[in-house]
Amino acid sequence: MSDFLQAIIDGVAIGSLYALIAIGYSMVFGILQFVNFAHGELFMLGAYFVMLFLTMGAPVWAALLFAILAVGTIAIVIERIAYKPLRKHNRLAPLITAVAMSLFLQNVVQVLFSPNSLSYPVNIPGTIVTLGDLYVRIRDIGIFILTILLAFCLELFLNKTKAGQGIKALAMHSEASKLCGVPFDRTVSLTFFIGALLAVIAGTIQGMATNQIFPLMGVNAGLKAFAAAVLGGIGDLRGAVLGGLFLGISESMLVSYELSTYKDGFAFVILILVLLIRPQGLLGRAQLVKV
Amino acid sequence: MTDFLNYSQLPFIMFCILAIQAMSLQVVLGGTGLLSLGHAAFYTVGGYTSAIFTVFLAPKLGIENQTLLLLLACCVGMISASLAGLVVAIPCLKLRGDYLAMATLGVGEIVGTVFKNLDFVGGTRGFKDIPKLGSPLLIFLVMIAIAFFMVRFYKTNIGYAVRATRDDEISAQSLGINIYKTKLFSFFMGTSIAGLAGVFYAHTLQFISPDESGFYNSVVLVLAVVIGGMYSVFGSIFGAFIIVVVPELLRFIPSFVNPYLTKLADYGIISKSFIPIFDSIFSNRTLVFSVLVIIIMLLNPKGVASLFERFQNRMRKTHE
Repeated sequence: MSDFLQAIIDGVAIGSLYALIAIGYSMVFGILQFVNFAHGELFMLGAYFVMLFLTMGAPVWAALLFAILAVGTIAIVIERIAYKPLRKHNRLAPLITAVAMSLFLQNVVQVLFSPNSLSYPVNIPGTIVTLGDLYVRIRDIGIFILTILLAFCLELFLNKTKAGQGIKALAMHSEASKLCGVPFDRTVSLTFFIGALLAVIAGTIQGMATNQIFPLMGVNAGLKAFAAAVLGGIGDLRGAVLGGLFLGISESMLVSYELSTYKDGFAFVILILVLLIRPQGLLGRAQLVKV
Repeated sequence: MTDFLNYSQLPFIMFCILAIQAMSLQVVLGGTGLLSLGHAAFYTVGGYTSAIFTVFLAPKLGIENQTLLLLLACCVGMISASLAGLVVAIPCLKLRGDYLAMATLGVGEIVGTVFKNLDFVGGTRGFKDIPKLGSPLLIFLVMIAIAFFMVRFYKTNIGYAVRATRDDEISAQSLGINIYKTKLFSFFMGTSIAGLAGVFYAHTLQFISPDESGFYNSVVLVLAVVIGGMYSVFGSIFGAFIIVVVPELLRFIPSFVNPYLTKLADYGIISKSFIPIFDSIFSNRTLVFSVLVIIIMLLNPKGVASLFERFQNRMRKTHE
């Protein structure tokens, strides 16, 4: 029993990061029915930008703020350049530009910084507290609470503000909400910005917690977070958080049962099982369209 | 000349193999309209199983004849890849559109993880020392044969059924086409050809790694199909050609441009520190290639084959 609890506690931090990235995938898919495969790279860019500002001497909060603005702008520009012109064409075209964009960002970072991993200037100490049989990293609990808080704020934003209502309306029915005067392009940009914001925060946490960042860090995290988004029900915010946490915890359970080499494939086994049994995901609403 | 031949041999083989793979995906993606983001998995399965056969099984059976060995390896690769394809397809083809793409993406990652954990084929380090079988000419001929086979296939009854399913499932069904079986058949065909490509890959490079089945390689295949034009068999070959050859050509850009850049730097128009940055940008071929892909997609989302069609239509109009 204590092993089980320990696995949950160990998996919560990485699960929170998956959740933060997954929200971006999920929100964009909710509006455009399009998987932004360059989203994992925003996570990586976030980590690099924060490092850049930190080495320039900015305090952590300012570095984070600037990085969010920078990566958010990059996300919006990417959408305008690479996805928007292809919106009316077949589904494949934006998918391919998204993948090409992700390759582009990875390689730009490799050229500008280095292909090797870099250490992070600011770290969160990994102090461990014992609670009975359990070892708890305070950092992990902090990350978890932060994620829940951010998700809560986002939920509040979506429900209480006009812009947030616009996002929800577009996700529900894009044609009807356009007729009601929701500015489509601006709302899509806002969605990309929010996704980038959360990805930057996740990237920064990853950098500060593991003390190393590398240009390809977004690939694996991005794919896993995508699996988490599908798992929870793609297009659903709470589903993304739940899916991320579920994935993180189940991966750490695999590690505790000494199956850690199978960890990377496991997320996708769950993904396929969920798609076959409950295609709308854990929390997604069932659609009338046959999937 | 011999230098050129030696240098171009590997790109040529890679082009032929990629073209076979692209055509195998073309049946699934362009022919039947099923978006598979895990197609590299099947060719990895084909490569691995055929390599396991030639390395471990064939010496025990005492097969010495190279031609027979290659033939048997091809059979093993095709059968295993198509079986893997069926295992994936039977449940997953019930999913539609994006959901199928998500599931097949997962398949690619799962296959990679499984081969990483099989120690007798080298684990994460990949399967080394696979015997060399086949020649560039043979692979090229196989590629041509498959291309003609595919063109013929689209003109048979089942080929029409496949395309009808792509264009409109409901109308196809009302004409008495069993959609599920048609999709299953095209998946079966696509994966078995992919297996064949895997056999040639493993036995010419004499190496195959579990990373081969990853998302990136599957996307390269989708790219080859879409760049050339989804609905065209020869378009896939053209797409493979672009993907292999263009990065090879990009390699020469710095040596062409650098003298001019140094001149510009001498005149003081650009700073000298720009040159190494320029070099590193162009020596990173993936970077330039990804930009090219974005540009190609933005200019012509339907692929290069559609340019041909437009040209043909114009010709027809002038004749009328």
